Amino acid sequence: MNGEHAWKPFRETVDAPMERARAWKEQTGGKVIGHLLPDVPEEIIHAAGALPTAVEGAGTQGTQAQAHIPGYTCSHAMGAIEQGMRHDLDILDGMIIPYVCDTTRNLFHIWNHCFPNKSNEFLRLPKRLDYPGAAEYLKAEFSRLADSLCNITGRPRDDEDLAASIALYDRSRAALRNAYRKQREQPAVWTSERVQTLFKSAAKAPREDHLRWMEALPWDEQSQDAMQRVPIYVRGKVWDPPGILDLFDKIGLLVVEDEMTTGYRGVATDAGSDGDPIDVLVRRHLSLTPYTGYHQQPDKLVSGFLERVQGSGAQGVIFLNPKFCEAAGFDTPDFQKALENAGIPSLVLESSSRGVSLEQIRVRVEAFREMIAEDLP
Amino acid sequence: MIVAGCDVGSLSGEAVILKDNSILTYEIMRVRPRPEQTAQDVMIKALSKADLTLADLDYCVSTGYGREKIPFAHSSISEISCHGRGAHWANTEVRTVIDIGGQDCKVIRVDKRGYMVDFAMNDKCAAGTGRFLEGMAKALGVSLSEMGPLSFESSSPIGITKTCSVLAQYDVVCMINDGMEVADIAAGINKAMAERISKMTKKVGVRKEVAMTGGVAKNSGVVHGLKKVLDVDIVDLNGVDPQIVGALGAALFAQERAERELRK
Amino acid sequence: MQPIQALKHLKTITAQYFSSAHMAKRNNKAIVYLNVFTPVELFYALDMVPVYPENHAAIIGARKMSQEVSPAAENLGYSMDLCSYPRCDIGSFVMRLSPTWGLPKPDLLVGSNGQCGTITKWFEVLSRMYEVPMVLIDVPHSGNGERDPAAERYVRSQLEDLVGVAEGISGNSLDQDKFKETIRISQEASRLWTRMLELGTADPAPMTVFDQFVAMFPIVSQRGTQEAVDFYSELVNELEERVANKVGALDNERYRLFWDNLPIWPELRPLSSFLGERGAGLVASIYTWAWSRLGVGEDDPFADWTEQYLYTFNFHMSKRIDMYVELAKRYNLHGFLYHSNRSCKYISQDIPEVRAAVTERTGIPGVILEADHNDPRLYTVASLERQIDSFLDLLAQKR
Repeated sequence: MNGEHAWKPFRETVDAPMERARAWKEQTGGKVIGHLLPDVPEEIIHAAGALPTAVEGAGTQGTQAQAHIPGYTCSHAMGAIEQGMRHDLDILDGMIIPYVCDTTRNLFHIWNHCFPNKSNEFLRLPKRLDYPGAAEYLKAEFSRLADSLCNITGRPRDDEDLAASIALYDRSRAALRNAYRKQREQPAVWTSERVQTLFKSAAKAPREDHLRWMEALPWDEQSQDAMQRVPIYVRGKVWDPPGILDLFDKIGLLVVEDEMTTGYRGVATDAGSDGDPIDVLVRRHLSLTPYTGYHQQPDKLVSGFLERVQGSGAQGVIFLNPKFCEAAGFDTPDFQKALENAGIPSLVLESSSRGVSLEQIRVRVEAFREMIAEDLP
Repeated sequence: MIVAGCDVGSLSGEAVILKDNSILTYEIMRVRPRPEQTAQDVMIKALSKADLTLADLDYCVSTGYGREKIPFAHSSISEISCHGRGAHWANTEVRTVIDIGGQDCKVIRVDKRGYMVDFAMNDKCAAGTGRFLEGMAKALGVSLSEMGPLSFESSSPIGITKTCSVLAQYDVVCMINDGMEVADIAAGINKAMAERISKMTKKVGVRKEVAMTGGVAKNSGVVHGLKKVLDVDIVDLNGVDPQIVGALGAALFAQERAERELRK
Repeated sequence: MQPIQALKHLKTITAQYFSSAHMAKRNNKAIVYLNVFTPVELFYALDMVPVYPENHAAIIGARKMSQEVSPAAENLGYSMDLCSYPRCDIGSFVMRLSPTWGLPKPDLLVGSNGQCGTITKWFEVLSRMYEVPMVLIDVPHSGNGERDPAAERYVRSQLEDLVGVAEGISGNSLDQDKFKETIRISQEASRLWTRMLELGTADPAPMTVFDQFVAMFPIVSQRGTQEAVDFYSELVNELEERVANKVGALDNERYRLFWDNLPIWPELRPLSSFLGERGAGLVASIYTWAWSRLGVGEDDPFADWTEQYLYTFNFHMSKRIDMYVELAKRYNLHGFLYHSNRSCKYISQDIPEVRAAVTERTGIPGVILEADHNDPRLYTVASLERQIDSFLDLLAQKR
């Protein structure tokens, strides 16, 4: 099939992201900067002349990390250390760990201790989203990050470079949003699993290449979809356990909106070009869907969530919570209660660094679908 | 009309043959290395009891861990829906089904037609499953089937509060070393198990009547404990073996699907 | 082993504190829920009554009530993997079962994420439960503890804005004289607390860390009140007397150990006697040290609080290691007991690295004990004791 060929570069990137980075490094002589995803402004890394490469710890299993961090740690942090310990990340010149939660604070310290030869940065994201001082602080922090990265790459800091990077990323986000829309319109071709591969690879491949590859996708291909799909909304951090989207595809759940940092949330908002480029990034950051690590007035956190779910047209909600994540764990009961009061069923699935049985997850997800679809027998 | 339901789990496989809404025959057996093999063997055995073959089946629904791999099944449905449906058929007053298997535990709420409307399932940790009981029985040095009767000999059950089965085993070993009564410990274990399950049950909400399915339903100690903790009666399934309820539910769905196909 | 006389007052002190907290509404005083390091002086000066859910949870743990109340929170969907303090606190609220007759309903919640992120989420839950406003003091965490001027401005502005919020809720305006006086009293309590800790350097140590845990209540909840100063003055006097007369907390102090992390509240007594019987004295702990540098100056308390938030409580691993190395010398330590606390991920996840670094720099060994500060269902005492025994054997061999 001609179509399959177009998906290949994305798959290759996801399967061997560090190989892609190595090739880029050999070709350009540039620096490769890893980052631990949530809300790290890739544009700033790109503008400094480096290649931003997302590191996803979730889904990685192994035994080496346990000597450095206790077992009651989420799969995201545990997996990142594991990858580092088994030299999967040797190609990285630096690593940016964002302040998302207590575990990321510790992860930075442990990381720095384990890998002192890399340039490691802790990105101090403010949490108090509706406090005016947060924007001011974030501006200073983004500037500090830009200086620090330019220091690593040796490229002088230039607002025009940053503006160009922002424009590139906005174009890429627009293309990814289109792909996400296609997932709803043509789910048999644009399966969740495929669309997720596009999203995942975007955070790992050089973005210019990625944008070019996306143009070659079968945008006009039409297909019949025999399956009756139930629209759902997903809240979580990253798509973990691996294979979860494939499972949704197979049993007929259609993700119409999600809050994943590696999902729709990451592309929903553009930065634009109105004003100082750092200001533009700060504005974008503060308008993102509040991820569970952020704080707003507590009732607003719940009502805002409920509004987003209702606006999405989803018939059910799945919470993909990493085991041991305090933030997600304390949010979920009130969020579920609000859904219940609104007559929207929800399901909590936990992912763990020790791996989960996809079969057990499958039983739940299938039963959940049977429960809301009402198409039994 | 002859239809069948086939439930392939991690330990055993079951097949139920229905004719005109009543159970014609059924069969239970240990699993073979591959689920499709288990399914085939158990189904053929069940069919042969009634002098039937696969060709006589109008419709077959599979369920359980191996449900996708069963070649002769027309479709598959999750065991959560099937357990609910099967238990409700056995006793139409049932609204809550507690299914405790070897690997997991599920609480299923059904509506008056037997359709699942809510459920809870424990995480992959062993606590609250047959595996937990098995481990504890081993630590106590008694067989699984002795656990129930033994616990009735106790007048003061010992509190077992650890939910992690490794920690709980550690505690049990310490208790034995401290010379505590085996009956009291057994009663404590059954009580702990009942409490763990009741927690899940409360998540879904207890609606009368409550039925139990799965292997642990045969442990009188846990059943008694659950009755006490939940403060409800556990109704019986009118002679239906609790172990075949999943396959029975699948067969009931098969019957409905076959009827629907006929109408088309 | 002679009990410390001054500690006998604690019963009355806590009882009085809780009864006056419950009376607050009748006395037209507003109630503010705080987390342990928030600037309590400000609220005392505004005649508000500070209440600490963390404290309440610890009391539940110490009174061995966790197993009774925490399942009620778990039934609401709060998993056992989450911090047991909020589980106990929320469970206690749901069951209306509490060693302090519950906590009075708050008018305002003020917490900070500098100490831990769980506070944010816990207080958000409480804010929705009680339908009261919440203020989060958001404290950025600099990578290695380097100074961050932008963060200083950010934290300071939040603290200054807090005054207006608290004035609005309490209906009082901040009287500068009263404010300064509260700060002075608080400083004195903090000085005495630090003095108490420092007396632990004596050989033998006059007080164990177990007693320090017990003695924490006033420094946590009542900084800025005369009650705290009176209590600690008497305690310090008694300890000084002990030091002068070479009276130790243990009859036979063979090992001087450090306790890392929070206590295991439900096991204070069993662990205390287990260690005591073996001549193992806990002489210092990071947890009690945390309250040693809380005093702020009268001239610009906001600057001092900002400083504390950003650079003192905001743990940085390398600073923590430095501190342990220094304490090892000051207290003449023989070993470290690291409580790997499932509930407190923030101060536990670093432990494997901290232990390795401290041992490398000092040659002093440490053992990691995995347990929980409040939930006995997550560990077994027998296993902890066995590990401690092996560790003491190791120390004996080293001699």
